[in-house]
Amino acid sequence: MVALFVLALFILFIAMDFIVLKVQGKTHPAFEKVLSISGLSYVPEMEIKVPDDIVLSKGHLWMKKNKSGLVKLGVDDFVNTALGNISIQNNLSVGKELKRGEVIFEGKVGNKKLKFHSPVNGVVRSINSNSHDREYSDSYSNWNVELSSKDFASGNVTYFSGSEALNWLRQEFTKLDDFLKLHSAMPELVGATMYDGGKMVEGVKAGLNDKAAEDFEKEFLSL
Amino acid sequence: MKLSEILKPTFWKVVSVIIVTVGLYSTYFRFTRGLGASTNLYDTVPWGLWIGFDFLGVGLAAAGFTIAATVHIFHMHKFEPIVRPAILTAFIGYSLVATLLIVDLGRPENFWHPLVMWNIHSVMFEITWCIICYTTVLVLEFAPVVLEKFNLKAPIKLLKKFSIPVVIAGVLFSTLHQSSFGSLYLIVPGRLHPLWYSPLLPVHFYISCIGVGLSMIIFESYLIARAFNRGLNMNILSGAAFAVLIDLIIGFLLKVFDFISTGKLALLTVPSKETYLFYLEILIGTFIPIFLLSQKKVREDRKWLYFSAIFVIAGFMLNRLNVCTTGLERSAGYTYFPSFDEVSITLMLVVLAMFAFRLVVKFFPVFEEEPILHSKQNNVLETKQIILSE
Repeated sequence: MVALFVLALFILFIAMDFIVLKVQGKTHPAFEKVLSISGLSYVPEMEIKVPDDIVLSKGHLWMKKNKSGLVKLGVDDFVNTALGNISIQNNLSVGKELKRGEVIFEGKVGNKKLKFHSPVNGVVRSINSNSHDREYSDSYSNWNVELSSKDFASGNVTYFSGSEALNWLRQEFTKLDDFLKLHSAMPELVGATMYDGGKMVEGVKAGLNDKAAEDFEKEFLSL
Repeated sequence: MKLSEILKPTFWKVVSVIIVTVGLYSTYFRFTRGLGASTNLYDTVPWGLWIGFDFLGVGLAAAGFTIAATVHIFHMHKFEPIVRPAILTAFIGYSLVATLLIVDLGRPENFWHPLVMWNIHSVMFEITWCIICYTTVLVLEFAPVVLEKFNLKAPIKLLKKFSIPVVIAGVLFSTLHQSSFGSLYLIVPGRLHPLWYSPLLPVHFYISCIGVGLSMIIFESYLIARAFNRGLNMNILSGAAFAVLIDLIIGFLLKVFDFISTGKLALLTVPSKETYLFYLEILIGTFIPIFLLSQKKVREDRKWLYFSAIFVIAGFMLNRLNVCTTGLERSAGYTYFPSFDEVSITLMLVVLAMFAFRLVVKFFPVFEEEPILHSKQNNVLETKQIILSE
């Protein structure tokens, strides 16, 4: 009976964990939808996930709408994967009105700055001053700006969610692979590229010149 | 992390606080009133839930020596990213066992006696010393993680010089005491039910701990992915799952050989509580996981890999607790069920162990920069960051 009792307790705690996650609207890692990236020349094999409560904009910002109607925005896993830890800088102030397509913040990569554009119209409600300290592995909990926006309610916003988001990310990684192929032929643009593993060598941060930054922005961060 | 974030109540934080509070009260009760008042143990059943949990804790922590040997002795460096979590699991598992043993001792103030009062003819003496020595080995194996945090390079360099002998010593001590837990029951051939009693019990214990240790690492990886929003390295986990499969098959074949050679097959047809629990143990801990893990797509599937690990762990729990309690009940003539205090103290220690693990992972470099990827082109481990290297 002791054996059955301990087994029942073990199963009970696992079941409770699933229920708690369900109530919180989160997904257990065992059930997460994951995108496997493989077979690309410059992008190494990896798994990318998009939490169920997150949607992605075309400019690689994730959005999460909370119960009070506010929308949190942050940089998605694609950008963090491609660029590593980027330092987010913004000149926004709480109460500022933002129009769709306007620069919401800038990401500093080495000595270059990349512009991120707001995917929705809205008013800035808060700015996360701690976001710089987070690790890039924590993309989807590392929000940068919170907006109040009516665009979701009115359906006036374009985004990718669920399996659609994963499929779109797959296309984006393929595009990134082409981007790297193109720029690896011109190493001065993004720095020296390792031809054998697809990983750029140390010191590339300084090598990301204006042209490469501009191209990356145009290819991946525009709406 | 801000204090407000730490204090923010969540379901599991509230549950943990309740468990620890009740557990502390039970601990106070146990130490002030004694074992008789706080447990349902009996003269003929002197070992109960706590000893069962000691067996579980040591077995579940077996990945420490398995992974360390795989990487450092057999040079399978693919598993390198899980060496530190495995060693940490082992260290915390053994600390939990040591704490629970002190709670379980009739005279806890005498816990240090085996250190100076040697009884070299006792299996318990061997187990005690192996656990002490292996815990010391685990401290040495985990020390570089702490030293790295404080950037103390000289002692790390020194430890690295002795790393191979230390790992080998760890494997030796683990092999000795994991199997000795089985040896412990060789002294009760008339009392332990023949479904579990076997001269091969030490070998069964040793083989099963390897599989469950690896399954624990798989299970734990999901808990870590959930708690720290980390990715899962399916390449490593499915490799570990294949090792679990091999281990389960070997364990099962050994059991078949054992039953045939000792003429115990007829026992499987006797309808009794023991037979049903034995079947449940084999079904959950052997048949189902072997069926699942023998399929490559299951080993590579996040969901099924998780459930396979749960099956192996659940089967292991049933096995150890069947040996410790179910298998002894008939001869004792007493059906033991743990008291509220026994359960609450055990749960408290499990919660504290999980909290300790979480705390160490939070503040020390237990994991490599995440997620670690395996590049098929150059067959080396690298981070997934593509363009820029920090």
